[in-house]
Amino acid sequence: MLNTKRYFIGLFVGLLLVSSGCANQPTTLYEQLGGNAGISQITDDFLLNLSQDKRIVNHFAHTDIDIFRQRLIEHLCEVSGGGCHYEGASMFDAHIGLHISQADFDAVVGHLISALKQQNVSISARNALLAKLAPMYQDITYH
Amino acid sequence: MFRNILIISLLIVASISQPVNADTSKVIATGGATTIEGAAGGGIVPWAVINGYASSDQWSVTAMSTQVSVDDFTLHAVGASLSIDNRFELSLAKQTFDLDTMGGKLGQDIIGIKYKLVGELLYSSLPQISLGMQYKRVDDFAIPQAVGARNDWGLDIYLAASKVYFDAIAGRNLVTNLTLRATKANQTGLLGFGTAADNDYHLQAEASIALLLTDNFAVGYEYKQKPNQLGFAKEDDWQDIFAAWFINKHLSLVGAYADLGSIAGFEQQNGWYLSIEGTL
Repeated sequence: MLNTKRYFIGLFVGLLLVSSGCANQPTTLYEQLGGNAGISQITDDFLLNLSQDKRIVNHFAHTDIDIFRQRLIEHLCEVSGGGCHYEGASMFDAHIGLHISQADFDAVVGHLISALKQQNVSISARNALLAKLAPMYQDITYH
Repeated sequence: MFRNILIISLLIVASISQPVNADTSKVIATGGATTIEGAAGGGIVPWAVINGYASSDQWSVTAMSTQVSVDDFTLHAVGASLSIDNRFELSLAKQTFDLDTMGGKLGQDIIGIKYKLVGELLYSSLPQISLGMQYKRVDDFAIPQAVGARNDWGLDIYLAASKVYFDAIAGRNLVTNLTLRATKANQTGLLGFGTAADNDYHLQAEASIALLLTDNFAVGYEYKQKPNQLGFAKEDDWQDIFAAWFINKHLSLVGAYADLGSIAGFEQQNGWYLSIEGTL
């Protein structure tokens, strides 16, 4: 009986050590997204997905894609704690007069999720990024 | 027969998914499942979410077939819904409740509407909040009347709040829902509405919690408080644990283990819940 108890305590302590070891790995969200290279690839997949969606591609008719891509990479880097400084306009100012609807926003979220999956970003990193981006809905839509 | 036709048509709808896929925009699983009462939600609790995948300026239709088999009873529910603008939901459901041990059957039809008042499930710090109503009418009032029910129809009114918390537990997204319902229904309406002595509305709380283990697979728990009005037999609250698999945006399956408590004097009615849903 005592041996069984010891065995379980040992197992429990062992599990704690293993799990705290995992938790101590210094991985920021930025690193989980693959750093600058990973974020660049995510951005390229995302832009490709957007360009192929006829529901929303018209919103980018007057967009300079090179500048848009650079701002997006900066923004994702900053949001994920990569130490970059996003130089672009605020989300509110950047979308004035674009009449982004909820359907547009939903579609864009879908394409971002697809891009993150295409780059094999873990589900926890994906959800952590969505947690930071989802509240931007208020600033981006309907104005 | 009707059920088989429905199931076959759901599978056909699911198999032609690709061309229609471009027309609706909501993220997978955000339409929820469909309750046995026809509204979008879990299995027994209506949520604030609007059924299907229609976002703004879009529409969506769903069809579902559900069976709940407990010790002495079997519930069949079929239903369909129309959703517009991720704002408004109209639903129809038909329930048949077989009294396997006693013999005979009960049934009711349910017409439901739901309107999103405020908030966005994924995007606002405020939960998404919707107001819903369900008009229910029993098929045959003989048994409900014999056990003391006052009316053969009733109107449920509910307010539901739903919110997704991203990256909540082990990096997974958590879906939470709280619903307050005013009802006169006995056993959700299958045994009629009110009693000779009591024609008041009762305010009941219902709650669901679900963890999305992947983007399209969730496990969760639901609790549904119910009035206990009829003198002939005790009525219990309902609860279930469930797993929901959103195979794609056109086909989903929900399996659950349900505890329906005491029904018409038969104690501890537990058993399996299985639901298939097609969405366009």
